[in-house]
Amino acid sequence: MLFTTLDFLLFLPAAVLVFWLLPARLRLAWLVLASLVFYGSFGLENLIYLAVVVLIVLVAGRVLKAKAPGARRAALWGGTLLILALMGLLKYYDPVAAGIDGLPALGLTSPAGFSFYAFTAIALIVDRYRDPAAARADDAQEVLYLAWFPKILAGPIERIGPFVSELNDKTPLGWPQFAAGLQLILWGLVKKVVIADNLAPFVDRTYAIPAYAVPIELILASYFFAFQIYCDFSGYTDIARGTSQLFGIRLSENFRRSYFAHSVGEFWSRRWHVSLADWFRDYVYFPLVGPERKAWRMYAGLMVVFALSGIWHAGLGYGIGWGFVAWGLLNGVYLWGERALNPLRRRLRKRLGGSWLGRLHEIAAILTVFHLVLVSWVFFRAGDLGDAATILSRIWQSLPELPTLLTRYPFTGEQAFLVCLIAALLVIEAAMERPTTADRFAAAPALLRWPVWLACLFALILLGRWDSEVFVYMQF
Amino acid sequence: MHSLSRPPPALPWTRIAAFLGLFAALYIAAAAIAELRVGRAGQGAMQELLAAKGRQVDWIVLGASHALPLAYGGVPERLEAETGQTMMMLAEVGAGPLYADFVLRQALLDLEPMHILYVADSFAFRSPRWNEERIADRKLLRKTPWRSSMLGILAGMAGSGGVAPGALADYVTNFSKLNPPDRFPQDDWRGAENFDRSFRPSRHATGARIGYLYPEGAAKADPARYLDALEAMFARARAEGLSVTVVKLPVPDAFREALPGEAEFDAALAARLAPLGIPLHDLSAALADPRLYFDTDHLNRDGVELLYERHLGPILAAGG
Repeated sequence: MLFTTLDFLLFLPAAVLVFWLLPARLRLAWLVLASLVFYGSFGLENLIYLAVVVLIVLVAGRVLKAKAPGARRAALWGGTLLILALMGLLKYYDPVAAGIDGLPALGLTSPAGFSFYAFTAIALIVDRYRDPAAARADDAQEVLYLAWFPKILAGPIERIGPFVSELNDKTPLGWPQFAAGLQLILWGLVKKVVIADNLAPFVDRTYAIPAYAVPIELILASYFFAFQIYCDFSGYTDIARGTSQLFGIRLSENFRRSYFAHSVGEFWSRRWHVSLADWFRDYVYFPLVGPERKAWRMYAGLMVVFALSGIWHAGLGYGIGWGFVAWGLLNGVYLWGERALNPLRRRLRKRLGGSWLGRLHEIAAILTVFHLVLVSWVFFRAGDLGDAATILSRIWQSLPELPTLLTRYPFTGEQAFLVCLIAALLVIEAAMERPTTADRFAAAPALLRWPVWLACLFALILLGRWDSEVFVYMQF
Repeated sequence: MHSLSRPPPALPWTRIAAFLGLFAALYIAAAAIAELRVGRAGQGAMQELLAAKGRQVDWIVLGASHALPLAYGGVPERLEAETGQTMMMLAEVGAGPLYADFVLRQALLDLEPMHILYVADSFAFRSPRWNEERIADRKLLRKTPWRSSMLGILAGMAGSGGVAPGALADYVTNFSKLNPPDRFPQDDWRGAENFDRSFRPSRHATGARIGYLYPEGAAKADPARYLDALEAMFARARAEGLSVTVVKLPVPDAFREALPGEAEFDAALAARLAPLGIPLHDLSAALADPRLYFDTDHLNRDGVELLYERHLGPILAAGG
């Protein structure tokens, strides 16, 4: 029951309607039931994995209530390592066993979204260990926190404190908030179904055998993939947040017009998959760096975080390969370079200020960051390191002849259509970058707002591709 | 703790109804425009039926793509010139017996046919891909005109499990005409365009084609379910007074030999047809020369002419 299916279109209104008709004491149970139905629709065995993680969390939670530091430490490490071991077993055992003689295959596959609720569970155990008061929730709330269906497949990776605050919030849900939820769903669907899923076939065809593709197509496919993965994942998140909002539960933002970042650091910490970046920061980076924050430990910590992130991404629908590790390490190198250049960049920004040169510098920074990230996406998307090297070297070799190639290449209607979709996205996101745009739009008369929403609906109907069976990140 | 105790949101129902009403009006207008442009999606059996509504025809041809070269090669025209009998091609690419049944039901409402020529292919009995999924195929729904009679047939078939509810919803709302699934086609079969070519035999191409036609393989895919559907379809046709002839059209030797489970299928088909008294003409080995085909398994112009002269012409002239 993906967000883009007819089943979900029927499931969601029914779940929302029953939720608001039920008395408050039954609503939590209803949301847990709805979440189990949703997650079970991807395979009943998924519920077993979810139940195992829930059980680990509940047992660890009981022990963490104890006063004895030894027992609490045992619960912290026991719970965390059990979840990580299960994740490792599901994600990596069979692919690793395939390469080692004598190791039998177990036929295990990671259930949809497993990594996301596994990370959520680890966050809960660690938070409870660090500060039991801040992570207070009853068992039913914890179950919902782990199983909440809008976020179970691909996040955001929420923290227990803000989540329970949402559950306990008694402020009446107004129509503007409800409508904002619907609008988020609609915009998320446009990003996923109209943009990402239309870009995907071209990228898949071109990246299938990069040696056979012409350089212009490799360039186009690399740009298209950058927008495909952005629209796929941020579209999913928008739908998840909008869906949750219909029940009065707000989820964190996770994506903020990612390709408008001025630095790689900003891209990873404030604009792309923010809840994962926060998770790595709080549970890996800070413990590694330690309270003294020595420079060498910060640099090493960054690289470890990105290497782990790369390993974690392995198996994301594009195979298990070193490409993901290369992608992670490359981003780590970017951040090293950026940190080293930070004083220089700050001085330059100060000198240029708000002048037109300053604006130009801002645009150049955005374009540079985008292209750095784009190069790293090649490692992420290509079948293996060899393919990534082929793609980058063929693009690199073609650059001197690019003007000639561009005039000779027979561009197709499909390519023009895809470029138009990306241009439309960028125009809308550029407008949304202005802090007042959203408020001004919300306050505009219906005569202005309705055509926009009708245009989104008809974009879905006329241009959407509804045959996709996955969101890229739910394969974690 | 008192979780989730917010009061329900007060919704502005009038505004919501106005927005939905406006959306519905625009959708209906767009769907009507799409229906007017349905012919641009390419011809198909259902459009042929709409165009020929009320006509009396002697033969209707049902089956999958192997039957289509008969139309490309002018068999209907030649039959009419030689015998005065008319023929309408209602076969469709990748159409198994369930899709043929859908076409026949509509044909019985629109035309007054006397004979059915059913072109049997074993692959069409081996997978839902060529049956339930073909009826739900958006590329076919896109070129299926919106008619209340077809809606009735589809609804009836949905009730018996032959049509997915999503496909019925697609047809009702004209969705595939508004949202063409083949906006940028890549590898569509273009039989008519290649009809005058000759094929150079290739073991790889034959293997790939067999793999495509039998996605489940032959061992796992029991044809009994679709043979039941065929039997029921023929029984209905006979009850309407139509005569039925079943043929297996020629394929190159290499292709025929590579077909999985063909002998078992032939025996099962013959066993189903014999009690109904329906003749089965197995011509699959009649034209072995690969130069008579434009691809791995479809007759080209020379192949159709030879087939008509040597085998099919006499069968049709004799009324089956």
